[in-house]
Amino acid sequence: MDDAGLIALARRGDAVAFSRLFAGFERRIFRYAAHMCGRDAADDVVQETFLAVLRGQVDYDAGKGTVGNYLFGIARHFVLKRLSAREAATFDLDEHDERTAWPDERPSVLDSLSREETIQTVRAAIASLPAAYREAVVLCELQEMTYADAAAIAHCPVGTVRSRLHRAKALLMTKLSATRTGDLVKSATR
Amino acid sequence: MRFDVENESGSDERLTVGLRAVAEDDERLGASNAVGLRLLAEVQAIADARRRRAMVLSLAAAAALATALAVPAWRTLQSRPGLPVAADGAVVTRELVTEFFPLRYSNVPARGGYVVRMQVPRTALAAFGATAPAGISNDPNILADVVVGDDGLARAVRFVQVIEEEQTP
Repeated sequence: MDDAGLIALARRGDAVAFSRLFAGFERRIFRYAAHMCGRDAADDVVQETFLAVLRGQVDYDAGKGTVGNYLFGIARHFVLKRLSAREAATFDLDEHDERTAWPDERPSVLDSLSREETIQTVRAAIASLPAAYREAVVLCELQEMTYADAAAIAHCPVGTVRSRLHRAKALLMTKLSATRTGDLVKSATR
Repeated sequence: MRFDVENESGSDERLTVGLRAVAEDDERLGASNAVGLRLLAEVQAIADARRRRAMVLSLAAAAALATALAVPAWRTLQSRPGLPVAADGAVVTRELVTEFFPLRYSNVPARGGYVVRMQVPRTALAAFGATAPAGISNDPNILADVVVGDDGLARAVRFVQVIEEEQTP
């Protein structure tokens, strides 16, 4: 049974089919939502996403992409609803021809950190990115999606995803090079 | 759109390691059990609703089947021979009769008599001294009520025409 079949059965009240569908995507959607709008809201995003599927609010069209892209597309809709207007506006930054420079080679804060500290610091740096760049990092780096899949989910050209990811990495390097660990974590949690 | 890519490789490597560490750490994250239970309840509600719909449809189908079987059976019983029928379009008969005409022996006294209905050749009526009036069927045979005295002599005759008509509602 493929994922599209699981959706069809779940919508008819098949608990086993739904459980398989949920188990296959729940964690990835939760992580995406957690990075985009916080862990507290991530549970709600997961719930709203699967409720929308069960209630047939958005039909799955195999011609438009995979079930994963379909679910992430729904989740993204609920994520965007939770972003502030200022954060949501970052998705319109692609038209700007701004130079994004990589920082000079300087000792990175990552060089001197333990694994746990590294995770905490990088996580905080990701959280401090503008939403559009954060999304590119989450989808392409943390979820290891292809640019094409990320573009399908974000409803933008592949080139836009690539440029967002490039800028995001540059910003992350800048933050990680220039900031002390504690400062970055504090700024991200403020 | 331009990017400065100097120093990218070295920085990117450290960043990639950091991102991998975050991704691995993310593996433990997932929606709470409450979300899964809430959604399973929704699936159960869908299943229950479908069962109810299926039951209603089954009952409706059974009712339709019972009706489909009962109506023809009822009609069959209603139209069984021997039972009175009061249906639209039924054929009813009525009789158009003339007055009684006296015959040759009408003046012969009789203590009693009776009426005999018979179908007689029109030509035979002449033997009784009677002819059918206008308006009576021109068939070669004609229906007549004959008053016969207890002595067997015919005293009078009237002519009868049976008319069949379809009853209109």
